[in-house]
Amino acid sequence: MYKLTQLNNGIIRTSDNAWIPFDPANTDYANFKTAILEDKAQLQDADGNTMTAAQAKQFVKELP
Amino acid sequence: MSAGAYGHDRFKAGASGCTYTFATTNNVTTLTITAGSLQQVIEGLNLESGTYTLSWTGTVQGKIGAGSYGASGITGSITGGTNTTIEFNTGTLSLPQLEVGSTATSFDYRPYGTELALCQRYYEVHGGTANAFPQYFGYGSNGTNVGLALPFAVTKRAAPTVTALGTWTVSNCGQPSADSATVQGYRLYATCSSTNTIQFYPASSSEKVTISAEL
Repeated sequence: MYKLTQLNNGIIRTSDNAWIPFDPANTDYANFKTAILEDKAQLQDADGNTMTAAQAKQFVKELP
Repeated sequence: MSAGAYGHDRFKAGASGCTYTFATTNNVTTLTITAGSLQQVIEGLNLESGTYTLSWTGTVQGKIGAGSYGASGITGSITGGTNTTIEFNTGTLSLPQLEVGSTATSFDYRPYGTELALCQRYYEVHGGTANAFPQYFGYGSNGTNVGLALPFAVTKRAAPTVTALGTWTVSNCGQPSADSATVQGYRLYATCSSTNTIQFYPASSSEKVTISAEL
């Protein structure tokens, strides 16, 4: 599970509370995008509401 | 170690994981790999196109990229600018070295500080010592965030993943969180639970921030 942040400058990996930047060179970020696009993880908005798979994929597609 | 987990000096377990022990004699560390494999990804920025030689002391077999395993002195072709993985299977391993050309030369001994700085381009830890740093003390208003902007010892390869671990000693605030990392530094902050003097710092060796820009 991943979660957006209030600052919208990265994401939280909820399993260990790691903050991951929106940087294509970061391997955790690449893993996040792959997991969402392959339906292997869910994404919550900054308020904790879980997005639908379609919403999450659309969000990821708009990221760098 | 499970697949992808890190051990010594940026080496991580291969696809099947890795089991190894280690011993240091006269400042030379020898790994004994009993199952799986150990690998390291070499950043493409440090590689030019051509033949490279991988050498080491010990009984493991090694390989360069998608090549085959062979004894110390094995050569392989590398494409400049492309991240390349070197890998070792079971046996003993010390003094590994990857170098340009088709001939293995003697091991390059570099200062400890140089090796540490080279590692810190990819990974760094802040904290891990009780009652020490990172430490915040100041005054804050209930519900607001207070914290520190902390620089890295070495500029990172990419904006890193930052993770605050453990249960920190806190006064009048919640547990600290790490975020907003760039290649130069990050933010460590906590939310005040009252309008008061605020403090947070590691309670033991478990409280630390890991900073990873690994490949």
